[in-house]
Amino acid sequence: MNQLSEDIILIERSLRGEQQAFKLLYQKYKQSLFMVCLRYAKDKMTAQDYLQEAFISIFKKLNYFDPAKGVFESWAKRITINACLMHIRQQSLYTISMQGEIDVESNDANALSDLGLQEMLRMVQQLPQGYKTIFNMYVIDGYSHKEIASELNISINTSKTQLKKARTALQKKILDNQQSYRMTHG
Amino acid sequence: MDRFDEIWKNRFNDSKLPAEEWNSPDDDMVWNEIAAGIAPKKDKRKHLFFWWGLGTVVILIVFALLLGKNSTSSTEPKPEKPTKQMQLSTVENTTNKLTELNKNTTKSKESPTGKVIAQTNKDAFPKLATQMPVNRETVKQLARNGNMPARVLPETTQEITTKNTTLLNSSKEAMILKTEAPIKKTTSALTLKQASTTGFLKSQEVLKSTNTELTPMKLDRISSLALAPVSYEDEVPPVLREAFNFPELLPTSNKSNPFRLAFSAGMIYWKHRISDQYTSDLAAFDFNYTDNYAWQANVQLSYAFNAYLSAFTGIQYEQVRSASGHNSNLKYDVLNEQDASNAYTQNLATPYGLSEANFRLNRQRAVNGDEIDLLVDFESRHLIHNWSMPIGLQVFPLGKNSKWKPYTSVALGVNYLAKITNTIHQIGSSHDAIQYENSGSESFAQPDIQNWHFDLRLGLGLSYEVFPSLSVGMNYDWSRGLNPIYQVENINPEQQNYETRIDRHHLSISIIKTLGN
Repeated sequence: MNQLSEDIILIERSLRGEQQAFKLLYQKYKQSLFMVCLRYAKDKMTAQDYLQEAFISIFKKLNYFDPAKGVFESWAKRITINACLMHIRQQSLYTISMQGEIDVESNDANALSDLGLQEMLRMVQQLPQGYKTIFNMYVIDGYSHKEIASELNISINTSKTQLKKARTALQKKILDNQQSYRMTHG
Repeated sequence: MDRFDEIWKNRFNDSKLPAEEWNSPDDDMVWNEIAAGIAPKKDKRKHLFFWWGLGTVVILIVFALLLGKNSTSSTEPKPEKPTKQMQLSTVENTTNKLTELNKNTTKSKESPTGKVIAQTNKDAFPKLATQMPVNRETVKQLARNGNMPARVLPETTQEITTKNTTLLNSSKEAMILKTEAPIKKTTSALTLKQASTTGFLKSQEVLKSTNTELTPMKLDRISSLALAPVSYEDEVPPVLREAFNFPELLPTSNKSNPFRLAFSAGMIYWKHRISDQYTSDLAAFDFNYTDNYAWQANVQLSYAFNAYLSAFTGIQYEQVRSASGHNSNLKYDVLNEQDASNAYTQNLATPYGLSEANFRLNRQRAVNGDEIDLLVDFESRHLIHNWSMPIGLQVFPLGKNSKWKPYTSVALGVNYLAKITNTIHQIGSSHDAIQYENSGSESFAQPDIQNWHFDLRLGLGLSYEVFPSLSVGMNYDWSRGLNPIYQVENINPEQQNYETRIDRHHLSISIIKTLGN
């Protein structure tokens, strides 16, 4: 049985109200969706709140899932991102960060490649909420600036500017991290 | 996107991460919350709307009754319910009054006091209006003094002969003539009129010869007197009405049957009111829908409390057709086709939620490739059958005395959406070799609608009285849907639910028949 068929069976069982099917869907996708929540949240506890809201939303909208339009995981990820954005908007967490330009000499991709995923996640989580949200949406989740502007109710130029600043801030963090590593390891 | 971005994207989108403590949620905590969140809730909304609707109806009815009661009680003191003892007492009074009147009538024959009396202002007897029941001595005294007004005492014997003496009594004071006080008349006829709570008894010609004696009527026969409305205002002077405790004259409109039956038919415009959230959810399908005109028929029964206020209810049937459409990406699988066609099961977006449809796409000719991507446009039609029962009030600001009667109305509409029949009207594929052919085997599930819903109606109308018991009218109603016909609860309680409500514009012409006339 392929992935799609398995998902469809689980969804059909869920739509009939089988609690076990809901739990199987949760077990299957909790980790990948939790990674999405971790990127948008500032810590693990907040991410768990996002995940919980995302799954409730997914289960309530299961009858809207159309297998012809894509796989379940992509659909669920989109709902999870929306749940995160909704939470950020509700909590007024999204603010345009007005920090000045961070002067970084180069974007050291090699230094980035050396980082572990957990360290990269920590860097993203430490970004100001505005930078973090736009960076996640544009770079990782594939939103266009137009879509970001629409979702966050900001101008396209603001989205572009914030993204640039987010990149710069991350690059600085990578350099700081590299220097710190060199200092501790000689 | 540069390499920097790509590294971030690839690392975070790698779904095959080993589960570790930092990237795994606390299952016990998270799952328990999710399970609680998706547990089926008892839908109290339907009950809420039912009680809300019932409460509104009760308030409307109470309001209407109070208005109707006030309009009559303001002009007429409520008569006391008579006991048998009271009836006998009243009869005695009445008989004595009649005797006194009779004597004075005879006196007037001897002296021309009637001429003087004719000029006497009836306002000279203010006491009579407040003395209820009438003191027989008062009447007697007034008569002796010659202060009885001309409208009470006939001017001459000749007048008595031509006009007939009229004995009057209210129904509450059941009239029984006493044997020990016979009334002798020298006039040609004596007519009794009996008032009743429902109108006035037709004249009962009891005597038609001179020197006839009135005989008592038994109490139990009073109820058998023929009841029919009769106007007495021209024959009964106000002072006598007061003296004999007559009820006030009823408004002209109340003489007719207060029930009216109206048959109407006309146009109705259904306007879907779909929540933004719902629309944006369906926007992914390029969802669209149409509002539409339709027809309606209505039978309405109304009850007039007075000339200005009526309550009404009825039954209305509406048949509405609407259309909706959206598009989907489908794949045509050449290798797994049956009879050069593929079968599909697809959720189609409608204003009444997603509804599952089964259909087939046929391959008309050979195509390149085993699998063809299609962008398919769906167009669906919906036939809606709705029954409704308006319950409300009509206000006639100008009363009902003229032939033209403008009115305004307010009502609560209790609707039962009996059925929505969906049909696939057209499916357009982006590939000229793959076409939809309506084979009649398509099925389209009925959406999960809320059958019961309510609306608030405000109306304006104008009727014209063609005959006393028949009118024609024209009416416009605007109605606002109070609860949705389709609803899916939003997971976020702070956001709007996905729902469709219906607002309506009614325009109808009607034939109105007064019952019993």
